[in-house]
This record gives sequence, C-alpha cells and structure tokens, in this order.
Amino acid sequence: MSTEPPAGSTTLAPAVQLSGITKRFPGVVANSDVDITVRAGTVHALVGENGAGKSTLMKILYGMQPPDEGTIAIDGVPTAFASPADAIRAGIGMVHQHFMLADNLTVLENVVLGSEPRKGLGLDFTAARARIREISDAYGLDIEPDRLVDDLGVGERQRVEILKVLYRGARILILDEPTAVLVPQEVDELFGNLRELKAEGLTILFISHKLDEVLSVADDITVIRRGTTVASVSPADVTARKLAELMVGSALPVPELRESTVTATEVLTVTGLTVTSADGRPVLDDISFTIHAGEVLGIAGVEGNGQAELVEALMGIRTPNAGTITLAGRDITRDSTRHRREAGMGYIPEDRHRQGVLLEATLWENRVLGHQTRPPNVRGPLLDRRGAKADTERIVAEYDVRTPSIDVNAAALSGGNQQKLIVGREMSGDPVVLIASHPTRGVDVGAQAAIWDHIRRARADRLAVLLISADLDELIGMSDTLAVILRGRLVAEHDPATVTPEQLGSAMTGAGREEG
Amino acid sequence: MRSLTPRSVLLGLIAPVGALVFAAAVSAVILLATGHDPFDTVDAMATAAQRPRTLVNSLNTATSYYLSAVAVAIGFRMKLFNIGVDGQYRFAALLAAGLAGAAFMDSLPSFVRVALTILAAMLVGAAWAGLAALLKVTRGVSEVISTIMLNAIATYLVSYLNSPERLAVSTAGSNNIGTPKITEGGRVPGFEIEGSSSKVFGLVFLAVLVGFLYWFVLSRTRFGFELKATGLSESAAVASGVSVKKMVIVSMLLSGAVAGLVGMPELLGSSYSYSLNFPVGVGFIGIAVALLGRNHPIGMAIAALLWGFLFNTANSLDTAGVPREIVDIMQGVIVLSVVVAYELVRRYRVRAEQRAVGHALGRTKTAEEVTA
Amino acid sequence: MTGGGLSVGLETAPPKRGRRVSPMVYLIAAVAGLAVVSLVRVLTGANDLTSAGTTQAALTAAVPLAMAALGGLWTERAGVVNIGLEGMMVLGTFGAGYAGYQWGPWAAVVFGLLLGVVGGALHAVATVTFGVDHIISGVAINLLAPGAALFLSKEYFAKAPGGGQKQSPPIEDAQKITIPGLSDWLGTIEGKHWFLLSDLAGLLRGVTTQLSLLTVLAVLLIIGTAWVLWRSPFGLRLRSCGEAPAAAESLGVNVYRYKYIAVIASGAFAGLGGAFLAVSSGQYRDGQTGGRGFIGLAAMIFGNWRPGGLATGATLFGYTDAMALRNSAAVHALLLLLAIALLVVAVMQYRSGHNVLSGVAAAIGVLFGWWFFASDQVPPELVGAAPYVVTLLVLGLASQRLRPPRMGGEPYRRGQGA
Repeated sequence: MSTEPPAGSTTLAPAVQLSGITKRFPGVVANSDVDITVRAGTVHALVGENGAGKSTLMKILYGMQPPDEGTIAIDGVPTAFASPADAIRAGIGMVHQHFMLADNLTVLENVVLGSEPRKGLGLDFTAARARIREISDAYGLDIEPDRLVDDLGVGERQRVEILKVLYRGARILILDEPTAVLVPQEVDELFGNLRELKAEGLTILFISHKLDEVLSVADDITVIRRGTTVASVSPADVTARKLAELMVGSALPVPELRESTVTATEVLTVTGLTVTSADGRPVLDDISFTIHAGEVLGIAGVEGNGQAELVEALMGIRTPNAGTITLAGRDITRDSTRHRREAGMGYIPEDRHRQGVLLEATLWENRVLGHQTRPPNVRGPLLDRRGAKADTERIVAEYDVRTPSIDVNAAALSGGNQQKLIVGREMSGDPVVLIASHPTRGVDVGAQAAIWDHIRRARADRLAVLLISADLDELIGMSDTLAVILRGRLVAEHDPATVTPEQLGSAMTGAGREEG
Repeated sequence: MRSLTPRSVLLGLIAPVGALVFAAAVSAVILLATGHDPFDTVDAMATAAQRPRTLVNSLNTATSYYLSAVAVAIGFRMKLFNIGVDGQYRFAALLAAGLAGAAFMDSLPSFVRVALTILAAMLVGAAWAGLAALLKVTRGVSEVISTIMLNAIATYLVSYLNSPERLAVSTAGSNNIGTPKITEGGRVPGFEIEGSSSKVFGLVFLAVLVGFLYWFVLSRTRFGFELKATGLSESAAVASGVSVKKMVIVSMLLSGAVAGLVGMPELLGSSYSYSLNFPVGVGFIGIAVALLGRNHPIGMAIAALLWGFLFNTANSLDTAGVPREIVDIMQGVIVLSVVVAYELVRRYRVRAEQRAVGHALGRTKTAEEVTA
Repeated sequence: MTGGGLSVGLETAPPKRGRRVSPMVYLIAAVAGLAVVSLVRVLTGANDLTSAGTTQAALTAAVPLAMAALGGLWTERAGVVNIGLEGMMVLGTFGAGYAGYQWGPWAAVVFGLLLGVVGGALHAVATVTFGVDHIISGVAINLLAPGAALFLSKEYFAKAPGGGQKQSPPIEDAQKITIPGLSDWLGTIEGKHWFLLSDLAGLLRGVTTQLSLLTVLAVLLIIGTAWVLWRSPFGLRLRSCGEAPAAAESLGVNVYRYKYIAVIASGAFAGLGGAFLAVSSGQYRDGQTGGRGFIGLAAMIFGNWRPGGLATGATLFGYTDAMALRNSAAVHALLLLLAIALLVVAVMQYRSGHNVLSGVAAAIGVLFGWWFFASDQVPPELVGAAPYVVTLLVLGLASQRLRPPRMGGEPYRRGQGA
C-alpha cells in the first residue's frame, strides 16, 4: 500500500474543503460544525457509525440538500450547490450505496442519462458508445455499453456506476459504502480500480464503517460521530481498535457473557437448508446447525452472504428449496410464519422499518404486530385493546422506551427507541428461540448495553438465540458458539472465548481457510 | 386511534371542510363565468331541500352510496383498489333481480325470498370480485387493471342478459326493458314520512348494520388489525405472520359481497326490477364517498348523505335553468381537493408529532431516522 | 404491474426477459397470423374478415383507441399511472364538438387536444406536486370530466343550430385521400377470394381508399412517439423517471418536470383521441367515448408498453369493434381465431415449463373452440367485451412476457432517493 502523497501536493489547494457545515431537520440536528479537508489525488475515508450523519453530509456535498450553515470549497473555490447538477458541473460524482441504475435500460442509457451526446435532436448513440468504451478501457472497467443492466452482476453494476461519474468528467468521486454489497474478490477488484483512478490523479472520498477496508485503502481518515467531525488521522498512526473507539466516542463497551448457560436441550435444529434465488443461484447452500436452550449462536459474515435469506427462511417468509427446520423436536419447515411465531419464535429484523414496525400506527398497535394471535393482545378473534395497551406500558417501562405516550405513532420515535420497543415485544410471550438480526444497529451506546442485557437475561432463562451482526465485538462478546457464513455456506466455527476479531475477519473474507 | 384533543379534531376537519369550501368557490366561479347567478343556484337547491320528499330521496340515495363506499373502503384499508364495485353491484343486482322476479319465488315466505335475493346478490358480487383476487394472488395482475376490465365485461354481460330473450321482459307502453317485477312478497316495505310521497327504504337498516359491522371488524378484531397492518406495510405484515394472499382473497370477497348489496335498497324498495334505468355509476361514487369519509364508518355516512343530498337537489337546478351537472363538477372538485388536503395534513401531522416527541424528550435524532 | 398497491402475487412471475426479437420475426408472425385469418375466412366463408370495408372501419375505430393508448404510454413510461384517460378523452370530445361545428375539423382537433391538456394538467398537479395516489386522482378525473363536458354541452350546444342538450351541431369530416388506380385493381383481386392474396389485397385497399388524414396523423404520432421516447435524450430522461426516478434525479434530471410533461402530453393524446372520435362520427355526443379510454389502456398493456405493440393492440381492438357493427358471421369466426391463439399460448407456456398456465390456456382455448362449433353466431351484445377479455387473458396467461415500467404508480417525492 502506498501512502506517500504525490510530490508537491502540499502546495495544491485541497480538492474538497468543508468548513463549519451544519444541517438541521425538524427537531434534530444531523450535522453540526463539520470540517473536512480532502487532499487532491488521494483516497480519503470518512468513517462513522450508522446514523452518525455521514450520508447527510454527502448529500450536502452532492447538492441534494443545502447546508444551513458552513461553506464548501472545491479546488479552493468556494461553491454553493443548488442541485446535483451543480455538483456534477463542479466535477463531483457520487456512487450511491444502493445502486442508482434503471434495470430496464441499457448500460449506455444509464451512463449518458442527463448528459447525452446529441446529433440534431436525437441522441448520438455512436458517439456515446465510443466514449463509454474509451473510458472503460482507460480504467480497466470492462463494461459493454449495449447490455441491459438487468443482466449484470453486482460488481459490474458498481463499475457502471463508477463509469457513470467518470463519463461526466468527475475528478472527485464519492463512494458511499461501496463494499457493503460486494463479495471479497469484488472488493479487491474495486480497490484495484480505485488505485488506478488515484494514479490518474482523481480524488476519492470513501465512506465506510468497515475499518479494515478503510485502513487498507485510505490515505487519510476523518472520523465523524454524532453529526460532527471528531478526528482526522493517518492510517499509519492508528489501529482498527483506536478508530473504533473514535467512532463510538468512548472505550468500546464490550458485551460479555459471564458464564455458560448452554444446556443439552436442542431447541432449533437446521439441516441441509438450501435456498435458491429467482435466477437459480444458491443463496443458501446446505446450512446445518443446532441451537440449544440457553445458547447464543453468533453468525459472522460480510453482508450479503446469505444472512438475510437464512433469517427469512427460518421465519417462514421465504420458502427453502431443500432442508428441514426443527423447533423443539417438531418439523416446522412447511409451517407458516404465524405458526412459527405462535410456537415461540421471536424475530428482531435487520431492517426495522421494512419488517419490524408500522410507522403510521401507534406504539400499542405495534406491540400487537406479530403477536396478533396471542394474549394479552387478543381474546379469540377479538382484539384486546386494554390488554395490549397495558402490556405496552410494561414494555415502555421495562425497556426504557423514551416516549411521551403509547398513543403516538412509531414514526415519532427515534430509531433506538423503536428498536427497544421491538426487542421488548419479541421478548414477551416467553419465546423459546429468538432470531436477532443486527439487534443493536443504529442504536446509541446506552440502548445497546440495555439490549445486550435483556438478551443475556433471557439466555439465562433458557432462551435459544441466533445472533447475526456486523459488529464483531458484539458477536464475540455475546455468543456461546460462533459460525462464519460465506457465500451462503457456513464455512468455519470458532470458540468466542479464544477467537480474535482479526481471525474472524479473515474467515469472513475466505482468507482464513487458506491459512489454516 | 389518536386521543381526541381540540387540536386533533381541528386537524381532522380542516381537510374535508376546506375541500368543500374550495369546491363551492370553484363551482361559483364556473357559474359566474357561464352567466348564472350562484346565489340563485343555492336558492333553488335550498328550496328543494325544504321538501320532505327531497330529504327522503336523499337518504335513500345515500343508502346505496354508503354501501358502495364501505365496499370500496374494505379494500382501501389494505391498499387494495377495488375499482370494480361498479361492475360487481350491477351484475349482482341484475342476477338477484332475475332470481327475485322468477315465478317460483312466489310460493316462498316473504322473509326467505328477501334473504335469498340479498344472499344471491352478495354471492354474485363476491364471485365477480373474486376473479380479480384470483388473478392478483396467482398471477400478480394489478387489481386496478383487472377490475377496470371486469367492469366493462360486466356491462356487456348485463346488456346481454337484460334482454327479452333472456332474463328480461319488455315493459308495455315504453321502450324500457327489465327483469319481471318482483311481486309484493319479495319486496322490503319502506316507512311513510309525513309530507313525502316517497318512502324511506327499509334497507336503510341494512346499511346501518353493515356500517356497524365494518367498524367492529376493522377496529376490534384480529382480522381488522391484520388488514390495517397490511395496508400500512406489506413487508412488516408478512414478517408478522400475516398471509397477505389470504388477506387479498378474503377482503376482495368481502368487498364484492358488500358491493352486491349496493343495488338492493333500490331493487327491493322502489324499482322492483333491474331495468335500463337502474342507477349506474354508484360504484365510482362509492370511491368518492370513501375518500371524503376517509374510510371511517361515520365519516363515510356523512359523505354519503352529502352526496345523496347534492344528487337529489340537483334535480331542481334544471328547472332553474342551470345544468344539473354543476353538481357533478362540484363533487369532482371536492374529491380531488380533499385527497390533496388529506395528504398535506398527513405530512404536517407526521412532522408535528416528531417535533413534539423530540421536544418532549429533549434529545436529538440522527438525520437517517428523520428522512427514513 | 401498474398501480402502487400491494406487491403480493408478483413473485409468482419472476421477471424473465424475452430475447430481443428481430423485425424479421415480427414480419413472419404477421404473415403467419394473416395466413391463419385467411384460412379461417376460407373455411367459414366469412369474407368480411379481411374485406377493404372492414379494414377501413377497423382503422377508424382503432385511431381513437391508439391515441388513448399513446396517452397511457407517455404517462406510464414516466411512472405515472393514468386511469383518467377516459375522462380526458371525454373532455376532448367536447372540445372537438365546440370548435368543430364552428371552425371545421382541424379546429376540432386542436380544441380537443387543448381540453385534454387541461385534464392532464389536473392529474399532473395532483399526482406529481401533491403526491396523491395516481389511481385516486384518475378516478376523480373520471368523475369530474363527464359532468363538466355535459354541463358545457348544455351551456353551448342546446341553443346552437342543429345541436341539443347532449350533442353538438354536426362537424364536417376531415379530408380523405384515395390512391387513384390502385384501389380498383386491388378490389378486383379481393373479389376473387383467393387464399392469402385476396386478404392482402383487401387490407391494402382498405388503407389506400378513402383514408382519413386523421388516420395519417395518428400513424405519424405513433412513429414520432417511438422516436422521441427511444431515440432522443428527452425520451431517455422521461423513461428514466418511470424506471428509476431517484437515479434520474441524482444525475440532475428534473423528475418533476419530466413527469409533468409526460402527464400533460398524455392528456393531449387522450384529448386528441376524443377529438378524432367526435370528428369521425360527425358530432359530439354525451357518453360518446363509451369506455374507449379504458380500451386504450388495455391496448397499451396488450402492447407491452411499446408503441408498436399498442398500435397492434389498438388495431386488433378496433377490428373487433368494426366487426361487431358489420357482420355477425365474421364475428363468429373470431371465436375460432381466439381459440387458436389460446392454443398457441398453451404450447408456448408448456415449452417454457409453465404447465399449469399451459393447461389453463388450453382449457379456455378449447372452451372458445367449442363455443364456435356449438353456435351459429355470437350475441352482438357480447362482442364489445372482446378487448377486455383478451387483455385479461394476456395478463393472466402471458404476463411474464410483459415488462411495465419499474416504478409505475409509485408517488415520487423529490429527494427521496439515497
């Protein structure tokens, strides 16, 4: 890895300089007094937790939202962007985390959209094709202009996104969590592309919370926490641990299980579980494991390696192509989601807004959600409003959900408080197994500790837990057993008492297998 | 489900009242532009409104409108658009009228005849709506498109069946054709109102019952909860163990069954036959009424009464020299402006509540949580 | 599919794209189709199936449908569903009636278009600016427009000479062109009732004799739409708003503006459709559209959201419309055609492994075949339902071949992406 800046770069104006950026939304402050300086011709990483305000900042830099205060200077020239079009003109290009591509259009159409070459009134397809091939060859992107985006794989789509911004003459590239959806080889390829771009003199602003990646690719690192910049460091001077502490703001709270509560009773047994995607690719490949009463099984893995499919197959949201799922000795493979929930499966979903809450329903109605067939929420086919409300009050008190009332809509609560409500709901009704997907994602540190505490107590009470998380410390600290998922397969098992985050990390990327 | 504070009541009323005022203003401008005096128009309608007969007719019309609105609202609650209430009720009314007017029915007791007629209408309505549900859950066909198609197909089927070679008979002395008149025992008697030559439909009570059941099922039962949850977030409902396919089928069948009732008050209380001048378009009016009444059982009742009143007083306008269609224009403007107004109020509410909770708790939230 | 409602059921038909089909394949399919029609004609003796008169009538009926379908195409390609086409078409018929009797057919066309624009603008304001559900806004326009048209009709036509409460005074028809010489020669061939050759002659004579300039204009508009939407930067931007508005916005495309243009254009086309209808039938009449806006929508779906496809759909539906008015023997022969088409679908579905669908298609096909052989004629009341039944059959039996715009019917808020 080469970190020495190009000669004479100290005399160049910084490619991007953000000073004193502040952005408020009704009732909240997203960014306050942010200062970032990005040297030209470098890869600059912006790190921070989910919800730290990185995305808002990038939207401001890309002209999607105006800042309330502060200034933006590009190549030393103060600028104000009213729209992305202005940012594009200033040479800024953004590669979004969720690809901004129209599947039903060709690569060519996606690339030229908004800045089309013209011939008369029409679009000059010949010129566009030539230009795309030229850029693709220059940066080794390997893109065929006339293919339909629908037919492309994830890595190719990302390269189309990069090509899109290069086509617009971008000299400054913003990449928002570009590796979240990539498999390890694709990450390597991407980093290769980034180095090539840097060598051509482009500036790259790289947003991530994956610290090992940041350390391997960045020349400079800015840490953002709670909407403001807290440190600017060089990767040579910090460790992943130190960066993580900067991100979180204090010494990391490390969850810890005091003693083993694992019993011999098998609660959830999965054998040979296989799920195939619509295009016939296996997304889960012959998964088998057993969780006992009082045991937490942690699953580590890079996002997109089959975790979401595993959880949905376990909850009966997705039908597996092969394999069996046994809950307390009973085969539930063909059972509906409702029957699984009634049999005692609790579910903390990864994306709470998609699967966990009804934003435009009250807290007590959200208490009923997923438990609409069981007391205290219903009596027979009728809703027990009084029972549900009383139990919601209990959850609000026990789980410290900060809300003025249980009659406000869930949308009015912060993400952390919504999450606490979900955890409280899924812990009620004596679950026998809890499927917890990123249970503390986007939650503040205090709430995080509280959620860990609740899971720990339930575990002592013989609850079986499947824990999926991107936070390796959480996984190591909370799990009795640790498994690693890679490309839809469980590839390694570790003892959380002895494993280090580094070992886990290499197992997650597939490197661990070659080493030992 | 929110507590009733003066503020929330005001927020609830501002949209419909605002839309009414706006629509009245637009109508007044149109009248002025076409050389009519808006006050004369209001005057003509007000005079008509003083006749008991107008009020009775308004109530009767509102009965059908209300049933239609409930049928639409059942789907709306789970974001299912049953645009097909119109075809469902016409097809159901025709077949039910054919059954009720058949000769063999004369030998049955009155109660059984009425019950059979109503049941038949509900079954036909449900079956016609069920086709759209089937296409949706098995083939993913948008119910909007399929019910539009089914409406049209129903129109052609009705005109095919409503002919002298099939279900209908010609009425002597006119070029109207329709099903044979239902005889005395198959009718539902109405109530005399002093000063009015028309009677209040007996089936007004059916509408009240349907409204009560609608309210009860939606707000007090598990099914109602699952319906609402599906409407608010399909993915969250699925993760919570709701079978959305089953919900689509059940709610579409229920919606169609209620749609089948729409023609019954008229058929059993006044026309006694499905003929060429049986009311058409009530299914679309139901959509308007459900929108104005926000799918709420009371709100829809008020909206249905308003619509019925406007429809019946409009008759007096032609004699005053104003085309009665000014009322159609007004109704259209009300619907368009009320949905806009509701949307604006909804956005305002979400922001206001977030701000209120934020202030109450004195904490800040990250931008992701706000914009999500 | 269209509509921003529940997505349940969509997973049953995973989007599978057909390979790109070359123009040659379309040509072969067209010739094969004509051969089948010709065969049916020879077997049943229903010579009206492909006569010049039928072709003319079919074209006249197809043009308003094609215009409504074009309106649907423009708006849906930009991601806005417009079931208010029917209402906008009604406004168009009134506009045409108002201007047409006073200043002739071309003024009728212009006024019909303008009144359609008014309807389109209303839908645009509601759906784009205020984010109102597209279906609801469409329904409201369908409630409003007929009332408004009838109100204006009573205001302006009741006292006009030759007009009435519910109809305008007569409008003069647009100019018609006939290619001299060709018509007679083709007529001779047509009269021989030869297999295929006479059919072709009948079709050609239909399009070269007494061809209305309105039809010519309609064909130009379809071709123009295809060019604008697929070959110009403007069209690319417009389509991107229906496929991925967030992506379009991130590239500096003003999504609201393109949606506005698309929806207003949609109203203009629907209004034109209404105007063509009024002009070709000689006057405005209340209720004249008779659901043609919805048939246009059906034609667009049948045509897989593509100009060539919707033109085919509109022609097909116009054809059944024309048949219904002309000859019951020919209509009866249509049953056999439908049965054959369904059996073809059944074979195709079977070959791509959809056995249940194949079975259903075959069963319905056999049913239509049985109806053909067991009866002597189709009740005229039912013929009008054909476009709707065919569209439902296409949606139900072949929907995996359809590719509607990805974000159709989803209200889009600025800044919603990323």
